[in-house]
Amino acid sequence: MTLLIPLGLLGLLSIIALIVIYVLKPNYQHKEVSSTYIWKLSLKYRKKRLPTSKLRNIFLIICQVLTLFIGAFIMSQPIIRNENGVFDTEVVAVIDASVSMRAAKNGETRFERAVEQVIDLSNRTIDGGGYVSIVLSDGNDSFLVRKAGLAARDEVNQKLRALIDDKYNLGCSYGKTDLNNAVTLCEEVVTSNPTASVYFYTDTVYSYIPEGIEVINVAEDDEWNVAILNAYTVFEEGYYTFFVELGCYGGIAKTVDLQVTINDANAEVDKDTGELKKGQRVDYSANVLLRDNAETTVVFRNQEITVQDYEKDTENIVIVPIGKDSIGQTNKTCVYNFDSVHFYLDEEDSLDADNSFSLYGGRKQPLKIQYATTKRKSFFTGAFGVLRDLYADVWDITVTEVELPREEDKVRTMGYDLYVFEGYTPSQMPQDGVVYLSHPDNMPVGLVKLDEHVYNDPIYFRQEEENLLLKNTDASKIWSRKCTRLLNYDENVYRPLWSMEGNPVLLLQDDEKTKLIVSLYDIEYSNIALRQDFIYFLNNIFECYLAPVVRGYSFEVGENITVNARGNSLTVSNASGSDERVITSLPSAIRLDRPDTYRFSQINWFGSALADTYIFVKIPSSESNISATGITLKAIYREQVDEETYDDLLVYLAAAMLALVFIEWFLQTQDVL
Amino acid sequence: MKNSILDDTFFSRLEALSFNLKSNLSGYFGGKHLVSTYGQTVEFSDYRDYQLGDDIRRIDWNLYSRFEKYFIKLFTDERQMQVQIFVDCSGSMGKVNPVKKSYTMAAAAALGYLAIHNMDKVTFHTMRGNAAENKFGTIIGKSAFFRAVNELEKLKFEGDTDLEACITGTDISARNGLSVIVSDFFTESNWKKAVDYLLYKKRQVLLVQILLPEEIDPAYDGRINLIDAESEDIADGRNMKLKVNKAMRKAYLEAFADFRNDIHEFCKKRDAGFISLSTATPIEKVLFGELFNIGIIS
Repeated sequence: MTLLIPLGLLGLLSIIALIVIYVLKPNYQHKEVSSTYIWKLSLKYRKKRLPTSKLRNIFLIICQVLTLFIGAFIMSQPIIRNENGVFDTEVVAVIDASVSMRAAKNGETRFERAVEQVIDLSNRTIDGGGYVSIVLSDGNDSFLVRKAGLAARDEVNQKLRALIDDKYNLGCSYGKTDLNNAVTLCEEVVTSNPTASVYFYTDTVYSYIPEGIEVINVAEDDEWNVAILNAYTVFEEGYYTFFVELGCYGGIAKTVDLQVTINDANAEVDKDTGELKKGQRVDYSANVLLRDNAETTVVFRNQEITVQDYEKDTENIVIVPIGKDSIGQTNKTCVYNFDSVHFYLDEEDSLDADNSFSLYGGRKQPLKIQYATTKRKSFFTGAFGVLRDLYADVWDITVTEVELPREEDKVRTMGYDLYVFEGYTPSQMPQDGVVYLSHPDNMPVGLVKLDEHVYNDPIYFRQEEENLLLKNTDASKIWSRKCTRLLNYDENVYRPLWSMEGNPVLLLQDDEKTKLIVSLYDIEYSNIALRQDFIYFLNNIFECYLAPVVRGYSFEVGENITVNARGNSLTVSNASGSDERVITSLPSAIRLDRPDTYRFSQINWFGSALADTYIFVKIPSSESNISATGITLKAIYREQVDEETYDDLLVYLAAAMLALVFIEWFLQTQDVL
Repeated sequence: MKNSILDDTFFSRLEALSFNLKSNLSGYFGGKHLVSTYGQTVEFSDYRDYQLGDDIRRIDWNLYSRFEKYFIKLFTDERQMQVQIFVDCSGSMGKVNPVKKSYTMAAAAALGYLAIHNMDKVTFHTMRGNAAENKFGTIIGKSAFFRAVNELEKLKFEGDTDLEACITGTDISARNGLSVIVSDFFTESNWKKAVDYLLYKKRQVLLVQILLPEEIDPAYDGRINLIDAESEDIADGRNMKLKVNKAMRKAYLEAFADFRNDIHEFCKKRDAGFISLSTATPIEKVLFGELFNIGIIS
């Protein structure tokens, strides 16, 4: 219990006054009587009841004293602090584990400095009887320890030491973080303990730091960094132009030497074997002056540079000509295809994670489609064109059209990724690719044809099951007036996807080695080709069975990418060998957590090893700015401790006082006792 | 008369009353009190056979003519009674409240008048300290009585009185009379011994207790320093400081009731009369009520 106004206890002096009143002889009224004889006799009668009377008097005095005591207490405003009103000493330390914290000076990174300081802070706090919570803000913010006290002191130190013990495998991430997310975690602690101190160990300078947060900047002077922020290519006039975005941070301007190595460039197809021959290695370089805290784009372009062109260079764009220019300054080889490009800055700066960059996708992987049709007008050709555009960034789609029956001898059942047979059924089904039979003349194994039926009116389809092949399609709006009706089908092999009046018109055979789609409606008697459903359906075939591993070749650490495969598994590995795993649940999302080149290997359902896919993961560009200035830090909500942490006792004391007054009144009325 | 109670009307009403004695008197002749012995009054009482030596003048010759035997006529005898009235003249009887004093005097005078009216002798013994003083001697006749009453009114009530010492110290020569003690009996003195002494002297005893209404039921409240009328100064031990409240009053009433019952029981056991009078009760009512009830007067 605490007294808000202790001076109110001066009211207890009234108890002394009460005692004085009792002690002092009261003023007696003189009364002459004939005799006090009976009065004296009556005293004996009173004495007979002395115990009761005495008890009553004692109670009376106690009541009066208690009443005065409570009155004095009420004046001093006694309160009882709630449990949550008395808080332990608690400290929350947030360690910024973004990649910029890897910036090092004299071999010691900012992250190591931060962790050392947190170890010191936690030890001081715990030794002082307090508690420590530590948040590691690495993009996936979480508590490293939560309210650790003396018993967990060694554990705290151990966990913190584990972050920095291995200098080549620090606990610091390669991604970026948002410390505001850590603020949310801090609020969890502050909610239960509003007096907890919050410390942020970071390298970001914030323009506004809210009250209740102390930011400790672990950056050192003289740290600088040059970085390859991004690189990309643009195919211009038959050749690639390479764009490289560079940055320089740390308060200095720097002239850097940018090295570019292009591997397996300009590879040609062997006319004899049809296979791709090994290309050549091409190297570029550029000496670029980078201004402080500015981004400069270096462009390696096949263009004839004139003196005027040089003069036109802006501060932020440096054009490096390749090929021949009019003044004969260079004769670097231009590139029209490549396997990979590596950019490299050979500088001893504070942060080396952004000094190199790899670029892939200079040569798209081929995807071969054979389209054999008996129809003179088909909608497939146009649909393939759309798909070619849709997958231009990953597939080099080639479509081989076979007109039937005139070119029946050109029909192949091997060597393609997708076989589309329209109005035709090959005598032997392909075994190395996805097969799509559109309104075939003969039924494949497992299907028994009844007849060819033409309806007078359009018959709308009905979807029989949920399937990814039917994604974005609406069967209820697709109709046909002609279809092949089946007498029966092998339910163990085929799954009906669409039907017309109960007759399956779209069936799927999807087992381990066979991906066969059979549509029994005549596309020329249907509205499907006029609807987007047709494109969606063909795209779904790509998504399900011809999916690229990943869309894109360059990502940032921290990104979650969805990977897919054309087989049952996908093997992921990175160049450093720190990550190697086999993904069997596809498609699957994976998080990229370190800058590196990742390789994806797979064997498709038909047993063929597909070409590997490479992507490069870089650190976030924003993290290369090791002297970044943040805008503001989110404020931590703290409950008002003073107003919410105690219970007022006035009501109880007033009730007790009332009760005492009532008891006193009752005792007074019991005077006759 | 100074006291309005003791006026002529009051005394004239008493003339119809007389004392009843429960024992034979052996006092002087000339009174009005009939006794069991035969005397020389004109009131016939009985016959008896003539015996040698009897006065032949008292033979009833009418009976002789009828029975031819001598019978002597017997007549009743009347004696004069001595009434002793002991008046407590302590301070408690009137120092504080003159009403009590007046009432005491009226009661004593009324009893005395009843005696005088019945041809009895009266003595007023004023008790003060350890002695009872018979200031007026034996009073016979109304003239002497009224003179004595006039003197009684001049009496001062002060100091304390030892009833036992006063009464036992009084020479009780006359037997078979009435002794009246008028007091409030608020005394530490052993008055019971005095009563026993009077009874030993063959006196019929009547105790008259005179009380103020506030003594019967005090209406005091609060802290009171009760000053006894008989106390000599403020520090006197008889004075007492008291917080008078409901409980105290109740105790007083109980104590008072027990005190009065004690007197009553004592008197009852000894065939003595006891009346307790409140000054709030008219004196006539007392005489015609209380004394009648206990059979002292008729």
